[in-house]
This record gives sequence, structure tokens and C-alpha cells, in this order.
Amino acid sequence: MTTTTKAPAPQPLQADKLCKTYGKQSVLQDLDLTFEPGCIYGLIGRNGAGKTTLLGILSGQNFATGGRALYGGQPVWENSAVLGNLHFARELSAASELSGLSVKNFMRAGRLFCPYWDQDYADELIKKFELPNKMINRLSRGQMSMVSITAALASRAPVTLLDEPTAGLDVVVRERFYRILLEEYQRTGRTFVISTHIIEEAASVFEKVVILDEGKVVADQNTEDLVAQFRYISGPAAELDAALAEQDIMPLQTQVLGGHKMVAVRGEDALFEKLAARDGLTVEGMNLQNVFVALCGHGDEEG
Amino acid sequence: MRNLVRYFGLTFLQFLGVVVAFVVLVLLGVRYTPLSLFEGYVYMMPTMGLWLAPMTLAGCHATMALPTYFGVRRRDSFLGMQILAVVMELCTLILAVTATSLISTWHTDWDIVMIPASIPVVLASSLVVIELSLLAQYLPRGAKQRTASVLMVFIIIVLTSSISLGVFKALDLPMPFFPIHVLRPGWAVFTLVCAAAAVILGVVTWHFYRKVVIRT
Repeated sequence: MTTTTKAPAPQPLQADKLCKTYGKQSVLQDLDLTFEPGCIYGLIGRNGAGKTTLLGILSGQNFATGGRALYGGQPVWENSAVLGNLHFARELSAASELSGLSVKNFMRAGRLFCPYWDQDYADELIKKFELPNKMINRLSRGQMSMVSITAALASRAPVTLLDEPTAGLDVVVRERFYRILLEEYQRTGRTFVISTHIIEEAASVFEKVVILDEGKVVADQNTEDLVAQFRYISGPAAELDAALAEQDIMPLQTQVLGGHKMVAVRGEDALFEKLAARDGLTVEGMNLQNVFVALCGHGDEEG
Repeated sequence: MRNLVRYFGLTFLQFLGVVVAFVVLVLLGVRYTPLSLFEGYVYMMPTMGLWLAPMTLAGCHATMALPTYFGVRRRDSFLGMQILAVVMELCTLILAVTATSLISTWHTDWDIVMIPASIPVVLASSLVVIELSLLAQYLPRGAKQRTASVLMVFIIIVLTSSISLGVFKALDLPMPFFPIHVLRPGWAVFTLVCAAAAVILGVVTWHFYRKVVIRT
């Protein structure tokens, strides 16, 4: 049994007009965002949307070319009073800088530097995930993910950022991970921000969702509320076009099959009821993944 | 800070183990076999500080990145690495002084001895090589390759010159640079120039390291 320092309650983590450019390429543009304490956030976006860059800057592992990252109102950058409260778990790879370390040495560093590290919990997770004490570059991709998940959870950091935590994990381990995450969340009330591409599987875990597109926040709200704002409307093309024109709706996404058309629209319940009342039109709910595609697909499913 | 000492302490102990093992092996060889068998390694002793620690630290990016990954300030891990480099060098040089003195007591004709007054000279020059090897890891790709090449050439020159000491000695040629003593005017100037260069390179390395993206 090892002694563990109890972690303080999480504070808001804020991006204040964050900008990031790599050479001439702008990745984040004047990004304002606040991760409220004690929530599980889903951070979703297409490849290159700036998710990893954002999480890196918020945790002090990357620097912003403009703006600031703040934790509890204090700057994150090079602030030792703040950095111990944040943990950013990134996907490990065989070609990465840290891959020459053994699992044991990786965890040893966590124990040394994370102020709220829970060694008993780390040992328990290593056992649960059946992690061998090998060099990281000799592990499978899934096992590498388990190493970074173990360190992230055992860090007991009030705010834990996980970048693609389930990459390479099989469905059984993914389920196990989400269960462990929820247990930990219920026990501690830590803030978790999870970026993932496997949206639908994780959607039930996210209390709130932030969608990034081309370096900008296009959605930041409660997951259920966000999903409730979107519907698929389908029916004969002429009928559907007339209804959209009448209600002055710009569809987010359009799919046409012969004379049949389906569009994704954003609106309120009253609008959806009006559309549902029209003859020949069908209104269907969407899931988070559909919402994401509608917001970030830029209509690319047309045709 | 205590945890950084424990963290870098392990790296230091691993390095020290290698250096001590090398020195002990050479000493045993010199003591119990004819010197000529180990001459090549013995000539390397005075220059050990110039290549052993720099070669070890040339691949230390992960060692520096790991504390930052777990929330340590860059400034602290950079400082920790600088202290580690100096301590590694000092230990190497103290071992070199001890070993060459021991060898000279066993073989009276042996005159390439490192004396304590040599330590500042070799330390300053070694720190230049170390800072170069650290810098090479944080430069943009093109510059990184050029600096790494310069570093490799430098280390090859050092290794070659240490071996050529043996040739000089075998041919009974004069060795005006010995003894290396910090109070000899030429070596004093060399030490000061190297110390200044090491500080400048350290500042440049920090300039690049402080904004490096921690990647896993």
C-alpha cells in the first residue's frame, strides 16, 4: 500500500484566443473554449482539425503562437502550480521518442512527477490490462494505448486529456476502458477530455461534446442537446425542396437517390414537427456521428 | 526538484556503471597483462570525457521529454539535464585522472597522465561537445542533420587524435601539449574560449528546447 496525495477538485481549463501555426499553415484560429470542471468531454474533429494541437497547448506540451491556455484562471505555460493538475495522454507509437523506455520506467516517471499518482491503482490497471513489462516499442499498438491509459488514470490528475485513447484496442478492451473510465469518474469527479474517431461507441460516455473543424469550434454543448437539434428529412425531391424553401432552411448535407432526397438540417422541435406534418416527408433523428458528419462533412456526401 | 534528482540520478548511475566498468577493465588489463595489449584503450583515457558523455547524451531526447510529458516545467528538466551533463563529465574526468595516475605508478615510462589541473580544460571542451549533441536534437530537420554531421566529425577527430597519441609516443615525438594544465597560458585561453562557447551553445539549445513540442 502506497501513500497517495488526494487530488484537489478540478478547475476550468480554458483556451483564450488560442492560435497555432506551423509555418504558413494555421491550425488553430482565435479559439475560445472552456472545459468546465467535473465533466466528461468528447473532443471530435476530422483529421488535421487541430485536436491534438489544442490538447497539447492546453497541457503545456505544445506552445501557442497566440493567446493563452488557462487553468483556474492561471496560465498553464511553464507554471508548475498548474502543470501537476493536468495530464495529457497521447497515443504512443513504436517510432516515438518514448518508445525506447520499458513500461516499468515509464510508470516510474509517472510516480516521480505526477503529484497525485496512485501506484496501487497503476498496479491494478497493469494487471487488468495484462500489460507485460517490455520496451514500449515491442508492444502491440493496443498495448501501447493501454500504457498511456494506465498512466493517465493513475496520474489522478484533476483534468485528464486523452488523445485517441482507444486506438488499436479491440472492442472488448474498449468496452473495459470506458467502464473503468466511468467508475473513476464517479469515484473522483475528475474532468476528462477524450478525443476520438470512434464517435458512436463513445457517445454515451460524453456528457458534453466539442466539435472542431478547421481550427475552429463549431459545437460546444451538452451531447443530448446537440443531437436533439439535428434531423434527417427525406422524401420526394420536389416535395422536400418546396418544404425547405418554405421554411427557409439551408441543408447541411444532401443525398439524392433518383427522385428521392434526404437532407440533414439543424433546427428546433417546432420546425421538425412542421416538416413531419407535411405529406410524403419523413423526419428521423440523428446520432452523434451523423451530427458530426453533417457539421464537418461540408456537404461532401452530395450525389 | 528531489524527484528530478532521483530521475536523472538513475540515468547517471547507469552511465557511471558503464564508465567504471570500462576503467576497471582497462586497469585490470594494464596491471595483469602487458601494457601493449591495452595501449589503445589507455590512450583513450585522457579524452574519455570528450566522447563518452556526449555520445550518451546525444540520444537523451526521451530522457528530457518524459518529465515534461508528466507535467514538469521545461526549465526544470533542461536544468536537470545540464547538471547531469556536468556531473557525468566530472565523474568521467576524475576517473580518468585516477586511472592514468595509477597506470603511471605501475609503468614508470608512462607519461600521458591526466592531472587534476587538466580537469577544467577537458571539462570546458567536453561541455562544448555535449551542448552540440543536445542542440542537434532540437534543431529543425535540415540544421539538425548538419549539426549532427559536425558532431560526428568532431568525435571522430577526438577518437583519432587519442589513438594518434600512441603513434606520437611510439615514435618518441615531442608532445608539447602535455601536461594539460589549466594554468598554462595556451590551455587557459582554450579553457575560457570553450567555456564561453559552451554557455552560448547552452543558451541556443534552451532557445530551441523551450518551444519544442513534446511528442510521444
